[in-house]
Amino acid sequence: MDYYSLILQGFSIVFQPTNLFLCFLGCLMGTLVGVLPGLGPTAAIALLLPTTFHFAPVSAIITLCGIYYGAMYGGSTTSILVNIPGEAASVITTLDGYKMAQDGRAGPALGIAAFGSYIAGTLSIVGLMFLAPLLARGALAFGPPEYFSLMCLGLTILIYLASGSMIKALMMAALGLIIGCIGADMLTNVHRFTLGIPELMDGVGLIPLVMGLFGISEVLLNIEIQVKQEILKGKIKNLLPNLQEWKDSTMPILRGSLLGFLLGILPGAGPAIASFVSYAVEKRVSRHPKKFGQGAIEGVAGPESANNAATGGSFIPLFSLGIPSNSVMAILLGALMIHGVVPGPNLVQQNPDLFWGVVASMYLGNIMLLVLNLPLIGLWVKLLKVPYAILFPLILLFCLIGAYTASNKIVDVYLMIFFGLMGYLLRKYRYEAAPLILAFVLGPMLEDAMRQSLIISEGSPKIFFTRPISGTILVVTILLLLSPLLPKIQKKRQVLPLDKEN
Amino acid sequence: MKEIIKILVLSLSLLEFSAGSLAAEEPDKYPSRPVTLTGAFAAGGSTDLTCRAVGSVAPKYFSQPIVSMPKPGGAGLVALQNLISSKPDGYTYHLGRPSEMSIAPFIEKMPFGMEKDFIPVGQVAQDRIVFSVHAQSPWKTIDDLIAAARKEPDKIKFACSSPTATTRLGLEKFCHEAGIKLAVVPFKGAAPAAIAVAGGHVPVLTSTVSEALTHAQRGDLRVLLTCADQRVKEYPDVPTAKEKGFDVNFGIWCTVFARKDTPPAILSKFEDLLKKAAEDKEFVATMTKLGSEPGFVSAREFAGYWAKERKWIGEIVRQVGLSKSP
Repeated sequence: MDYYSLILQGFSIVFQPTNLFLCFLGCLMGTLVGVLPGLGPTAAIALLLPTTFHFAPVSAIITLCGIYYGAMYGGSTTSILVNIPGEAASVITTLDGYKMAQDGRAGPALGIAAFGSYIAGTLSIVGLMFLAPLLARGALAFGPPEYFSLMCLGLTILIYLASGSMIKALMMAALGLIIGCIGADMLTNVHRFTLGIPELMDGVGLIPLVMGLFGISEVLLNIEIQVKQEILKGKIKNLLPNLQEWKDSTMPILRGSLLGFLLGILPGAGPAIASFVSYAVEKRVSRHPKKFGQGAIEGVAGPESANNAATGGSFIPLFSLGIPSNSVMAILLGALMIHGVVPGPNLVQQNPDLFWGVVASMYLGNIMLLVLNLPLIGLWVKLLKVPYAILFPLILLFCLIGAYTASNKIVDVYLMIFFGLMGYLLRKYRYEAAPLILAFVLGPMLEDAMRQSLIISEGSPKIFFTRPISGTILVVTILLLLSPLLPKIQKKRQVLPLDKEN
Repeated sequence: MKEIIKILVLSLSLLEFSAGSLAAEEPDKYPSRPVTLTGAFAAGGSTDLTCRAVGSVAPKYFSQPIVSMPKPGGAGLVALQNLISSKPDGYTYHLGRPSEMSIAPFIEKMPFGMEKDFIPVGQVAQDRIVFSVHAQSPWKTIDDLIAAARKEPDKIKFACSSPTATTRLGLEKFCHEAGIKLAVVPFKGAAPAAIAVAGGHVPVLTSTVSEALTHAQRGDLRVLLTCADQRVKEYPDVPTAKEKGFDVNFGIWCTVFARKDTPPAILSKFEDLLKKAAEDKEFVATMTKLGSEPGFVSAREFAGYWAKERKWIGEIVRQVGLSKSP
């Protein structure tokens, strides 16, 4: 097939003034909801969906997609500046991004996040273009046993998330698993830890949990510490990453792009998990893992690239199979159907204008976002000079609005405040929240996949080992867990800060 | 003493105020402000889209806008609680689905009675339930599946979107009629359930017409039966339950409900609007694209159907062991 002329055709559609404007508008709104803590792309797209009914199909999808990948660009900003993730996929960026900002390197951190997002975003579109039909079938090969094994592998990542005490990290992971248990049981509908509150039947939402543990607790902590801001004032150095920082970031960006892209294809995985995995990988391969958690630029470059690449990857099952891999994709599926476009293997042939138009808009959108975000860095960094007395009430306000608008439930606001108080105490006693979030995300998926697999196999755990994909992943998991016991690796492991007490 | 008088005067004036606002709503002035239509599912889902489709054609027949307000959570309890705590003045309605109006009352503790507190106003559309298998499955027809299930009761597994899903109840009703037993593998949502069957991990799927459509068109799913009396447009070659001699005419209806104590004159006005909206060309086109089956059913006709439906659902829920949570 002549890709060249098809892409040109796509660009000719995007360069129509309306589409150009809508692409920009989508990217801008995405950046905005990404930057504002609590407001995420899912809520924004759901709210804007009916407005796009009157657009041409390609224009509607261009706008909605722009919001989605725009949000991935914006999400890192508050993670880096004030230690509050704009959305779930940027939780991990707080670990090193915020440390960098404290060292006066907020500019390079924001810069590398923007460049990494751009490179990863563009690479994943190339992947979407050429590999979509090939990789799409791969998503179908993943059944419950494969997900179980994948989640097991995911939980081993915990080892790399701890920058302080390992025991404390494991305790936090256990707490995350317990919070993940809240709600009606997936199999029998028995209520677990719901305390008779109907809203808790659906479980605890990720947004109130993340906003509470990071946002509210950060505000509370900063009420205590007043001098810190003075230190920041004079010390903001350069705004863009220097040569050394670029050298350190190139491989993490490329690895993050690949990882994020592949994880994005799998239904259920998505940007949040991709960013966690990327961080763990960077820490594992790094020659100076001790720097992680202390402001390593790799810890920003990798995850921020991964979450953007995952957005590109998640379009593959949607466009080629009609499978929505996350809640945003589910809404986009509805949008496609409303416009009379049935996603599936014939979409590219039947609606070439739509597919290539959207793909071309993503190329252009990524450039727009880079151009939009780079000049903003100077502005964002100045945000640090806003007196905390003004900044933190505003953050609190956005967290409250965000927690409510995500699902129109006042209970979510109470939950966020509860987790905020909990997060405040946890951080005072040096317990980290990142392992909790990872376990909270993976735990319920692990449990569901395990129980589904065991129903399918009628109780035999052999199903996890006899299926090739599942078996391979489990063997890798076991090797990873055993690796510290092998003497040869033991030597290398001493540089890993696993047992370092803070 | 002064204080007491103050309080008395204040409460009296408050009482008067609330009484006054109630009395102001005379049926012939209705509607004088925007109407809210809630749903028990998240924004962007099929319930929300149906509410919005009603809202988008309403201006042609109604002097006030109709606004969709998703109130997800608690198996529909959050949305119904919202309806029951609003005034019975015809400005808050709920677009109900079987999951919260017919099934949840048998499974969850609900602080109200369905027939005692709510009244149907009119049905505007419904999603049909279909059963399908993987394309390479040895079962070519529904009779093959029934025969296989008779040989090995409780061995063949089916995927559905949740343990209390309407699509599951449809399949369990069919199994009851056919005298067979299948084992349930619940998923979180319709999409993962459909993927599990399309990928060949679970043999049977119960889903709506649209949830199976992309997989069937791609050739990964074979649809065996539709739970309807007439053939479904999307699958003209697939036999209906009625053709096969089963009484499973069960759709996932979209029916508007109101508080039972709403003045009948207001209800009939709104029912009239629903009829016009459901038969509107634009509405029909939108719903068809969503894989839904638009069509109006009057409040009276629906009420009879609803009572019958809840009777068999209660029995099936008991049979499959989905008892109330403590």
